[in-house]
Amino acid sequence: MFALLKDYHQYKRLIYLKKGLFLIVALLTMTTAVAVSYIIPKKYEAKTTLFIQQNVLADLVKGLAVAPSIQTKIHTLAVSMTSRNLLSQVVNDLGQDMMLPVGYDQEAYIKDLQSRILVNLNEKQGVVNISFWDRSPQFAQDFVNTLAMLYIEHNTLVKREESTEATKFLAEQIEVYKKRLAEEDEAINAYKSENSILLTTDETFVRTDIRQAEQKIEELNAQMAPLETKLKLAQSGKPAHRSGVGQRDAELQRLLRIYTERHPKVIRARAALQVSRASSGGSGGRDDTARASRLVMADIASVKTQLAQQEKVIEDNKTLLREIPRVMGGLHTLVDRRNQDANLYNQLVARYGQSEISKDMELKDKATVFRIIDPAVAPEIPSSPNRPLIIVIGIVLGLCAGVAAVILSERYDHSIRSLQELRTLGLPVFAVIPRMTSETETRRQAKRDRFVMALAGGYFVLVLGVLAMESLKAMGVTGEWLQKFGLHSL
Amino acid sequence: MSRIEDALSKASQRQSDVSPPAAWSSFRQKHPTLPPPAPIDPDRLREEKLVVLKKPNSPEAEEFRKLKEFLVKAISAPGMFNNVVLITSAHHGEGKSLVTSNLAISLAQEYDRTVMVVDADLRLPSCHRYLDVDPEQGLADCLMQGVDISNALVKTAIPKLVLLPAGKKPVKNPLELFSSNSMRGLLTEMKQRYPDRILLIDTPPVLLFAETRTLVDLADGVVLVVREGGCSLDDVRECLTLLNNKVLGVVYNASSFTQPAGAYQDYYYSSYVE
Repeated sequence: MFALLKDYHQYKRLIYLKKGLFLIVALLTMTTAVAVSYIIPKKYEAKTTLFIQQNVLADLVKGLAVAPSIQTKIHTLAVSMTSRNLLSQVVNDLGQDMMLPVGYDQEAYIKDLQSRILVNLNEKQGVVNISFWDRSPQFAQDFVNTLAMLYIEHNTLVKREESTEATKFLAEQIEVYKKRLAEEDEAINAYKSENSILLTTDETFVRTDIRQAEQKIEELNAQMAPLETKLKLAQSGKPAHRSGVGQRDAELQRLLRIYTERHPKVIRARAALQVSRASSGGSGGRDDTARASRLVMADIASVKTQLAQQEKVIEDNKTLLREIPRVMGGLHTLVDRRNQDANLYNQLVARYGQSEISKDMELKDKATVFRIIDPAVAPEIPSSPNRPLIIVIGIVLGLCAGVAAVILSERYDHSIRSLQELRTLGLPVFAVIPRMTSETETRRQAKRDRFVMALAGGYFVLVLGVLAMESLKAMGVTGEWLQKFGLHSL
Repeated sequence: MSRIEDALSKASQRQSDVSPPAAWSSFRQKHPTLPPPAPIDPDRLREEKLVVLKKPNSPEAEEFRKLKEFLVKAISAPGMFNNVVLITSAHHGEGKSLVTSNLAISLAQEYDRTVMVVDADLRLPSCHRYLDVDPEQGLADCLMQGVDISNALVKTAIPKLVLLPAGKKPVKNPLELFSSNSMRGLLTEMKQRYPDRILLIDTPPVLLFAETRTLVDLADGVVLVVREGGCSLDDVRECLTLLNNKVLGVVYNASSFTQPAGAYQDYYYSSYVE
């Protein structure tokens, strides 16, 4: 703290000692700032406000129709507002292109215009501020208004085109899907007619048929065994039934001990026993034997034919069982595809309805509307240069520069500042004479100081006066008051 | 008698045999006892910065008295009296002429001193302003036109102080004038004609002009005035080299340093005045 205070006093003393340098640098800097503030060309800023109004209808038709959201529009607004096409149109409308010199780089001109346009978005309020600055206040006003107007026109046109295009596209897609659905229906029908048997056949019935055929085969096999035995006996012509009956009876008894009455082996043994008994009881003769043998053979042939039929039935049914899943799978695929397309078709039809409503809304500007709520007017006060600010900065900079000049001059002044420095040379110091000032000199110095301070103070007051005047002008206090004091020309 | 006593008696006898220098004996013989200086009226000079005269009890005047004492001791070595002292500085405006004038007045207040100030700053003479004289002729006239020095000397308001002004006419070639035999002869004449006087020669700044470097060959010693904030240490070093190491001492002028015993001194001086 003490060191700071010491520094402060030291700097204060320095400034007092070198007040001339301080004042010259400070006032020169201030003068430069004032001069710069007047040299910089004036720029006028025109501003317009657009209000983005979203109609109640948009909420009402929510779900029925599709209206672009405000956010979407606002996000693209700044870009589209400064697009080259739009700006070229504005320039053409204003006839500015005629004023441009031949061979002027239009691209550069457009870029220059773009750099001077400022689009501020206030999403919450749905307000867009468009500002543009130029050296001519009238041009700034015309430019902003034309830009806003053209943007709104352009925006409406684009909206309509978009809606019409969307409806048209949906209609085309609906046609395409319609055709596709018809083709798919035809394909399904053809498939069905082609595989009608398989598609109408029930697997359960097929399996029942197979089972029945298998039972039939078993029965036929049971019939075949006695017939074959009978045929052998008939062909041998010997009554061998005695011993055969006994053996067959014994065999039947043995099987009955092992199996039930319905077992095929039991059935066959019982049938063989009956045949043996029957043959042992008949009258024998050569003709009878031959006839009997033929009968038996005919029976056997009949049974074999039946067996073959039943096996074929089994085979056919098994083939059916294998084919059914494949055919059904193919049908399902076709049906699924058709269903998907039908779904899309239905959606397209629904969207087409929405699109029709949206188109009507856009065409009639029922959804979102841009309104110019505050058209630009020709600005009277230039937005730039901000003279009060430049002058204030100049004053502050001037004071700083003055202090800096004093400190720098002190730092780069290598003159002897104390007796100790002189003593380092090792010379005898005969006398240390304090600073002497005569009263006349003091008075003269004081007078000179007063004059310099008055001059500098007056100059500073002048700078402050300019600052005050410019501040008043910036606040809009112009006209009569300034004219009264003859300052308006400034 | 011991050997020591013998040696002391021999030394005493040898010392009594040595005769003082001619100038010294002449000075003593001619002015064995000078009359006391007449009181000087301070109002006879207008310059307020002549503190020795205007404020004799001030610390500033006391510093000039210190300067006088140191200088007299430096030039009055036993057996010699080097009475030509050059007062100069590194740059312009360091206070040479004011120091010269104050020192001259202080010396003139001595009982047995007379002082002659030679204003050799032909480019910007200022001693005549401090001593409040309006010279018709001066050093330049003596050198260029052969005017007799006695005609050029001006008596000042201080009884024992005479001024040889620079001369009214502007001089274009001071270096050539000072390096001439005339200047050498003139200084020799002044030194020999007024052997009891101390010659204080106020010269131009050493680093700015060459004539001081010529004059220093003719002087017995140099007092360098260094003003606070007026020159750098390097400048002083350069001066020392240019002045052929004839610098007897330095006067630190326009010091912003306040003596720690200032309050005591003020009390002391005020009581002294009373």
